[in-house]
Amino acid sequence: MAARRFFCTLADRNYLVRGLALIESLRRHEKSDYTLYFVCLDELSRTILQALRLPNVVPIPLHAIEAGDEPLLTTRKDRTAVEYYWTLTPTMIRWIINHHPEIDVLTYLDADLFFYSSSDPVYAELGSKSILIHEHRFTPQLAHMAKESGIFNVGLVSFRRDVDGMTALEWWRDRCLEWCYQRTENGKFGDQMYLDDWPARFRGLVVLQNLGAALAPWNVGQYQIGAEPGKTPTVNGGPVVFFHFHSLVVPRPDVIVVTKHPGFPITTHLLAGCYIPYAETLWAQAMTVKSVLPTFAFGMAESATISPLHTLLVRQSARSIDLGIGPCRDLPLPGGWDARLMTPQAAPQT
Amino acid sequence: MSAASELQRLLVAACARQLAQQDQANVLEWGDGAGMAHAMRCLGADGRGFAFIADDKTFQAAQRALTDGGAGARELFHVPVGAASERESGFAAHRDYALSPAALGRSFSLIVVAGADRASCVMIGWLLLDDAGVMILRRRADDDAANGAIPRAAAVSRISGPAGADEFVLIAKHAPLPETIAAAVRGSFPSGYQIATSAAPAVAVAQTRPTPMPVRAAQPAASCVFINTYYPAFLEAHYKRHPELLKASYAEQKASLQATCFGDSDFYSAGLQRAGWAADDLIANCSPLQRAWAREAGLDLPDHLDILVEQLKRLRPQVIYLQDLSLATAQVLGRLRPLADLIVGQIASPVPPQAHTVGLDIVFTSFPHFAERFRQSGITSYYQPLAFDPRVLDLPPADGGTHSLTFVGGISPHHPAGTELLTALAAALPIEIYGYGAESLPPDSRVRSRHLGEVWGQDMFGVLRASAITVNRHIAVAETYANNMRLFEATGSGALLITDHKTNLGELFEIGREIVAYRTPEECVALCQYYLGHPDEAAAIARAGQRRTLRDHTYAQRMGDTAEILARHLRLKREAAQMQAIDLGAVSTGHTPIAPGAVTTALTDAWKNESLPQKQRALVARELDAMYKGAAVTPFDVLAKALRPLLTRHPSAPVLEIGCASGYYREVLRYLLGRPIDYTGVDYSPAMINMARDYYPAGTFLVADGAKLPFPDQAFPIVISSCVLLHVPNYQQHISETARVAANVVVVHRTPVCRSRQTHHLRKQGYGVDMVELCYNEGELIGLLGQAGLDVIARHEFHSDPQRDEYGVTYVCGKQGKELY
Repeated sequence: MAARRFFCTLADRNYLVRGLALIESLRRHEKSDYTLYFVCLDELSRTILQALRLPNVVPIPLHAIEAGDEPLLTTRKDRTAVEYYWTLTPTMIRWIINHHPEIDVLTYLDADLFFYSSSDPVYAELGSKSILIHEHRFTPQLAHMAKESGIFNVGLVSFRRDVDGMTALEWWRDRCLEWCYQRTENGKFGDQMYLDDWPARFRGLVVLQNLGAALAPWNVGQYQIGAEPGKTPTVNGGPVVFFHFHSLVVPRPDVIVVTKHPGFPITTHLLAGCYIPYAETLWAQAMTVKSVLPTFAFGMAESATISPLHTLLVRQSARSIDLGIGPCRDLPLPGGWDARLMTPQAAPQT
Repeated sequence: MSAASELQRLLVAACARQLAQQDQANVLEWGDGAGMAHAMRCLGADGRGFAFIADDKTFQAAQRALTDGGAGARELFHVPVGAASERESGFAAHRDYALSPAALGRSFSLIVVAGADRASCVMIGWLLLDDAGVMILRRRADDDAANGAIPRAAAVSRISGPAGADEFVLIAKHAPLPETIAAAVRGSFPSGYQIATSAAPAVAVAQTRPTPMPVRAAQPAASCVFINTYYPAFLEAHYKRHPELLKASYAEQKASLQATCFGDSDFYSAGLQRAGWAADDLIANCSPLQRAWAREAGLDLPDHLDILVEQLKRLRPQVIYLQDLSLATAQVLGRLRPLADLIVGQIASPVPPQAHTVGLDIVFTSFPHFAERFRQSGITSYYQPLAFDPRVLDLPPADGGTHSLTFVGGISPHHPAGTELLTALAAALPIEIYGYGAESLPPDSRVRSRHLGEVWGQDMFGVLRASAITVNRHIAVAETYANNMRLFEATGSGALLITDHKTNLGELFEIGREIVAYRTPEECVALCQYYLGHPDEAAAIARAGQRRTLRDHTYAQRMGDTAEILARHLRLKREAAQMQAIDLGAVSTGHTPIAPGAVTTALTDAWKNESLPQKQRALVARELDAMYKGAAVTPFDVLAKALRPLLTRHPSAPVLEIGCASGYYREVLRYLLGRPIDYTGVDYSPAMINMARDYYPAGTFLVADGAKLPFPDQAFPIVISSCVLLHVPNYQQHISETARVAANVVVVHRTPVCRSRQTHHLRKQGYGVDMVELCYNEGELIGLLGQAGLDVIARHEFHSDPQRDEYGVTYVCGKQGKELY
């Protein structure tokens, strides 16, 4: 029998619905036994998550991780909420490993990841190694972003409980405690650019190669996305494993700005194959949360600059709303959503 | 049958009656089996009994008696004392006998300790006792060790007999079970037996005010007067409501004021009285009250301070406790100084500018950061959270009906964050707001529209007790710490407390299970909405919060701690000159390498020398004095640093110190970590343990060899090997035994190591006594720890001399395969 897989993620109330979508995607596609440790960055998230009683999900309150960790608590004084959450990433991974002796490998997932198929390829590539990271794989047009955001993305990182894995994790925690801000400075950016020299710095490290894993707006433009109703979306013919929905904005529960960066290329295949299943899941999860707390609207009223350069997904029931963006065309999509296309950003796949 | 055996049967039967309500009662006896057999007869088929018998003939007799009948499954175990018994005493000889029940892998509802080595059996029995169970210790009159083994946390009732007769001690995890059992059968006690009276006066019901401290005559050993001030607005309102008080006696006025439960009323003094002290309150700023006292004393003193000084001259307490530091001016302290041995103060708000804090002997504060700042100024300061007095629950309920959501507290333009919170709540929810300061709000404030006026004392408790949910917030001076009285007033009153998250909140309550915490106003609003919509969950958390407060946050508990602290400082002061006069000589000198084979029993037994405790204590007294004056004492600071993260996450985790000497780390850790520690100390020196019990009568201390510890496997989450390994040539046994009794973490404190040399033995003189000392090769030591299942997870190096290859290190080790604490 395959060993149980252990994942972890973190979210506050503003990312709770996305975190629930991630949970739902794991529920659908993870074939092995697994546990997802969900670090709740506020008590509202923990309360709701606890009320939902989701199988395989273990909520962990932030205060449990902070308790007694003076070096971590000290960082809170001069960091924004986002910077503190980034600072927290290696610490929470370390905390979970320390408090759960049964864990051999722990895989951190950003809450805005979404799985379309099993994580098997990720674990196959990790094999018996100790650390797994993945590159941004920027398209040539976006290659310059590596200078600001780093070669690697921390959306998914795996650590094994062995000397190499724990050495890297401790080093990462120490660096993040020293400096972790939302700006590029001396080769550092948040918790992320610390990974740039890991292949040379640490033993036992694997850089994920599977194209279906770590799809994201910054790399998807260079791939052929396959989208057939009822089937797993594909990338260059292989199954999509997970997509990182970075820069997606939800100004209303029934409206999604696909990406706030209009420079990221979006195709109609990508919308149909990846974004619509995600939008559907977000909607369903939002309704689930509202069943517990009807007034809940966090993360679903985000401020967004919507320009004619953006692509929107709008629920068909909200077709009549005026988004103040002038004329645009609706592309009907499955699942009760339209793509409101105003720009060349969402072009047909060539 | 002897009177003692008759009483034992009586108590066993009474316990069995109590336990009969349980589905399955497991009974354990260390003794002759008679207690277990009698309990089983009383329990019937539901019970299961186990008796451990050391003596062969007794065992055979018990086997024969077993066939006499009785219900339930009964098992007898013959565990003879070890062959070493002729040479060794105590646990060393009875290790298997005492530890065998732990191997059964079950806990027990009734435990009878009436056999060999009762001290060890009590220690082990406590670890095996059910939460609702009872242990009966039949203590021989001269068995002080058994007394010392009774845990500090235990609820205890004693039944004493004629001189020289066995005493019976009923021990449970929670009061009032022992008292209930003893009281149930007191009418049937054999002649000469009676329930031993407690030193502490009972103050248990709301309307029963504590007995004031007697004046001068019959002065008890320890006494304290609390000096309070009340809000002028409250005093004015109280006398307006009760104008007849203006002509009433001092006692009547004071009783009337305290009956309102305003502020901390008589909560502190009543708590201290429960701890066996004489204690009283003075309300220094209440003119009618103080004038009445002066009038009755035949004094014409218009000045409040003059009256206060006269009151104190008559009471002559050992301790003056100022509840309001605005009183603690240099002038006032100068007049009070001759009137008491200690003057202490309490602060839970910004320090008044006129307060002459360096003139106080101790400052208690509910702000951890204040304690740190006072210490940095050389002032002895204890962190001590505020609390709740359960007598409030005996007050008649208020008439105002129930409240779904309330806030009770002040509003001030100086606390804009608090007003922002209330504004958000008032905009979104039907919150009822009570307290002072509403007039400072703008006329169109939403908060104003939901404000229902001021409530004080009983009225405030009435609102809280009728509230399903109540919201709390801290003032800015609290910084990142939770401290206010509402934490305990609200939970104690039974409301669901929704409070602002603070870094120390989790040390006081379990967030999410006992209270709810928010980090922003919008989250507070959403959490209120959630719990208003889920009243059953809200009520469950409120109940759990109330249980926690009644268990851990009562004034009786706080004042139990305070009583210990004050007694300690009174003794420190009393002994200061005496301790300074003791000539320590050379504490550690004359190190000479010796071969391992040259280590004699005399060298390894050196620490049992009876001249050592006093000399070492004299050194410790100087270190304690330095610590209390805010100076760094490296060994103390290093151990506190090692334990702080663990005990912050698990404040109630039991800690075992091996090699506890006179037990001073119990005091040091209380001070430096800011909380009482669930501490057990063992040392192989009876003289050291005697001294530890003398200095810390509420502590748990036991004579035990670190190589043969009287505890089951994994009995303590945290074990400190305290400067022991350097004195024990059988260190592998010590390490293995230390690892065995530790569940999660072992701290190997103050170990001398070298890096380029091998582990080597030295002969030296410690306090003038020849002894052995080891210096470990660090790699070898870490390897040995690893073999025992201990991984070094942190090291604190407090001494480093690379040229001489000498280092002093404290290691924190996690137990392999266990959750890191």
